[in-house]
Amino acid sequence: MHNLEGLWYDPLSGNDALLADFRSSPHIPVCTVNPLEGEQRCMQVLEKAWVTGARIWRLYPQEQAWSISHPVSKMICGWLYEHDCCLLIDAPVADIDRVLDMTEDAMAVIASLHFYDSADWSVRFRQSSSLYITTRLLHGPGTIEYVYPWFKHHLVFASGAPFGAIKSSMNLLDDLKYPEAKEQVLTGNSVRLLGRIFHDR
Amino acid sequence: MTVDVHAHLGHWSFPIADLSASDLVSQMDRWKIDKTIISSSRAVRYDFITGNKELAMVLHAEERLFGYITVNLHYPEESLAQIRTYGTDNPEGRARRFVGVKIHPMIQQKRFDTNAGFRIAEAAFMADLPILIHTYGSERETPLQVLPVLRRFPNLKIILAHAGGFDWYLANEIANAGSHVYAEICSSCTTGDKLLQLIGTFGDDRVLFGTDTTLFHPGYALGMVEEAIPDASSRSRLMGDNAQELFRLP
Repeated sequence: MHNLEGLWYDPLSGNDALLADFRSSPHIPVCTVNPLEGEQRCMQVLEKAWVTGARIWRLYPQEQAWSISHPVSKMICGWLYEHDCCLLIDAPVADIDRVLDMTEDAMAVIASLHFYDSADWSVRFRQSSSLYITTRLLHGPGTIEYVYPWFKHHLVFASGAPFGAIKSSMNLLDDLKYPEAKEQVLTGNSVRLLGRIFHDR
Repeated sequence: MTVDVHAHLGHWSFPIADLSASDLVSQMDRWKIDKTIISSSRAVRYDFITGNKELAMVLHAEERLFGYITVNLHYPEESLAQIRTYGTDNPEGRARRFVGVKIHPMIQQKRFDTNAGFRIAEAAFMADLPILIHTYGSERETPLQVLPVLRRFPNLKIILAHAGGFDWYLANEIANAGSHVYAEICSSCTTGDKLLQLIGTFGDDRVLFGTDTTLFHPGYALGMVEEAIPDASSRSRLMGDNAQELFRLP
């Protein structure tokens, strides 16, 4: 779960509200930080939420109109890497590649990549040990089966709810020719990923 | 009765499954889709004359499949000839195996509200063929481009494929531009809010179910419908009745 105030207005107050709402909830809060606010404010946002337990962060380069090569974005990625966090980011394939480079492919990164680009990313990222790809936009017929041999441990379920229907994404997992794939995508890979992120708890 | 009004047959330039006509029919059985109206992907993406011809052969062999005559806005004369060939009861078109006209302004890089578009609209209106037009949020794809056409042909039947996609508010903006404007629901945007708002604006008699198969997995659009309208008896118009009436399917 993430917070729209953090995305569109103020990451600091948005994160505060999110972390307060989820203090006693089973849901996992996803905090955010906006490089356009500058390095001092970003460090304040990162450190304040980190102390409260934020380990999964989301960046919004497309919605907030900034480039992944923005120097403060690089600084943020470096900070998240040093603090063993996980990054959610939706961006063009080449930008995801830059993030993996910046973090030496050692920080967990979750991205919703479109099946239209699967010829690219299925080759580019098949050796990555840290990139997790959601099933949110893998709605080409046979797409999940096509990429599964390379990404069987790195595909995680996502629906985009409430901007996408959960049932739509669930239906993509029916009839997969790999019998273990549905459980892996729905549960197994996510559990391993969360274990990697929250190993200090 | 479930009718998929937005589907294709043929190759796509992505690493996805290539489905034959019989594969498509098997898939329809799997997802409980009774009838499907398809356009040729060859016709949409490359050669509309050859693509339509190939599709005609498929339609004559598969009674649950119906077709769109794909036209190309860059070739109005040839497009009109395709409508004459397949849009009437004749040896090529047979008895209404082709039940509509398909236009894709994005792939063709030309808008519908052009002289070529007006001529094609007139031919489709005269043949009583609904037009399925691809719509999304960009200038080239906007649903708003049907407005000048509707002003000239107010009784033309137009289906907004994808209903503007993520920008479905654009489709809602023109829901009342004519009593024969329909919204079709499939896209990468599967939020139930989109579907419910379209029904609220267009009315439940002018929203149509589509999947975009064989480009998209059919369960994607179906999941949106099942989640937004859990009661199956409340979605019969959306899922098939409207299409049956609009296309006068057997």
